[in-house]
Amino acid sequence: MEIDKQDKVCSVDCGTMFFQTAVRGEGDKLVIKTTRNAFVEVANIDDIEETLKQNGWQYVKDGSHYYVIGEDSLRVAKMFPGQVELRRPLKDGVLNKTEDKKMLVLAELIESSIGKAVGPNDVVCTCISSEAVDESTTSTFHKARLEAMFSRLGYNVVIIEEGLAVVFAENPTITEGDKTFNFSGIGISFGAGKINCVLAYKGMPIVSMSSMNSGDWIDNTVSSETGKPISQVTSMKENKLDLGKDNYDDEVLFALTACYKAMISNVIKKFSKKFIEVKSEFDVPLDIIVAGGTSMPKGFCEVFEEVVRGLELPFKIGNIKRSSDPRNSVVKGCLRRAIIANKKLKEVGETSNDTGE
Amino acid sequence: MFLVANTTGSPIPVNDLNLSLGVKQAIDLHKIKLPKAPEKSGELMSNIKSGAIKVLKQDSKKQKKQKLKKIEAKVTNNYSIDQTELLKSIELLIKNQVPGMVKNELESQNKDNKDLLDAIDGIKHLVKNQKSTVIVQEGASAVNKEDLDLDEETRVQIHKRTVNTMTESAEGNLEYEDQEVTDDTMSNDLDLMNDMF
Repeated sequence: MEIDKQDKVCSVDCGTMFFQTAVRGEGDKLVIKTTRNAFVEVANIDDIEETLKQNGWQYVKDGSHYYVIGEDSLRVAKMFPGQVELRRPLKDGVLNKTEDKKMLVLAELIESSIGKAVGPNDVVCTCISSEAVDESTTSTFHKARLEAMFSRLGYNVVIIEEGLAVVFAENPTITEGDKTFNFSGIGISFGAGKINCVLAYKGMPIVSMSSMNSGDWIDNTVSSETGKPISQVTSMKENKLDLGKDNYDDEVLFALTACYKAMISNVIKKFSKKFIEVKSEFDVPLDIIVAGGTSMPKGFCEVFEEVVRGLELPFKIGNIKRSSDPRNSVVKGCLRRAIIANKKLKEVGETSNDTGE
Repeated sequence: MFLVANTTGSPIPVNDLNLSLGVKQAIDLHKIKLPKAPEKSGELMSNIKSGAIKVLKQDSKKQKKQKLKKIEAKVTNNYSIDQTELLKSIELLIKNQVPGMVKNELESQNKDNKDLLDAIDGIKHLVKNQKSTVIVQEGASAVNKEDLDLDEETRVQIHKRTVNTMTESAEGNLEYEDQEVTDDTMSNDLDLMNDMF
């Protein structure tokens, strides 16, 4: 399907750890922008703006306050340990209640990455967490704020559940007799703040939930159990962890492996409970697709399969596979949904013109 | 008044008050019979803290004082009173209206509370000089339920204004590095999705 290049059609994933956008490029190419969803405030000393420019740091100026944004914020935080605090607009998958500059930073990230809409059929699709099963917070406020941040730029806004975005990106299928149904199966996004699961049937979410114990929980737990700083734990998780190995010789790697297994078991049990609660029934095996930054370590899919196949579940499991591009899967799925929404808008517009409405 | 609302998309049980707040339901907890003062409910306070339940309106100390004064005026003007019954009723009323602020505690608190204490003493003194029976009941036509429903569009408009105000004076130099990735299933999957939606 071709899209009209005149229209701006894009997707945005405001994640707890990363902020990503995607647009369609030439042919089967996508253009993805990724930046760390974090910032630090720097002291307003003399020539601060010059200093920021000379270092090539990305920043936002708000009156007399300066905020270094994205990857640069980590560099600044490392350069001045204890003097500047690394801050995050999102926490646990939703807007960070305790961060008063979250809207300023997010609004700047959004506008600088996708710009303003230029036409009536411009669409942005973004995602939110599904209903949480292990805490009382709600994403109603988060959803309204996100929608406001895009609609103020003139876009038509489509908001989907994060797990559904994985389903759209990976297209799992269900086979019933001689029929195959697309976009049917379980999509799981293991993010930094939350794990989002959606069981979809023909692209419709049937069972969905989110759980708190994800990447940040692993980092915090391992840090508190081993006494190692979180930065060290995160670094080992991202660079050295191989879940396929026993990791007996290193206390951090061993603890990380144990936490990963606990996290997987926990989320699948919760999802099963939700599946029973909504009285969903599927006789055919369901494929599971895993994605998200927390699913990046080597051996994740094998451990996932080992844990899941060892559980007694209210549904049959078909194939388990990891997205070929786990970090970008959610933003890709959102882009697909945005492209469809754009097409439908144009069709409605054309119909209205044909009928003289 | 202690008007609270469930802001979530699912019912919230508050077990220590034997209460369940329905989806987006708002309710004045001072106007329904509860096993204990709502302000003393740990579960309720925890839900308020987490944001699941929002306090829409709560009487300030001043308002509570004014209410008590109104009751005093009613008693003075309209009724002859049985002391024992009324003292019991007032005690009950005070417990409901001013939880945690019974006389002994009030004495050790600030000036506002001292004023409130004087008002209570005034009522008690007045009651001792009355004889016949009356039941004092404030707001007999209590409303049990009020629905709260802020529609999505309104909510988005509110947030839009907030974001516009917050970013009014902001400027930045943010730039991104483009990453080009191949998605060789996209065209086919888009056709399938197009048929579905």
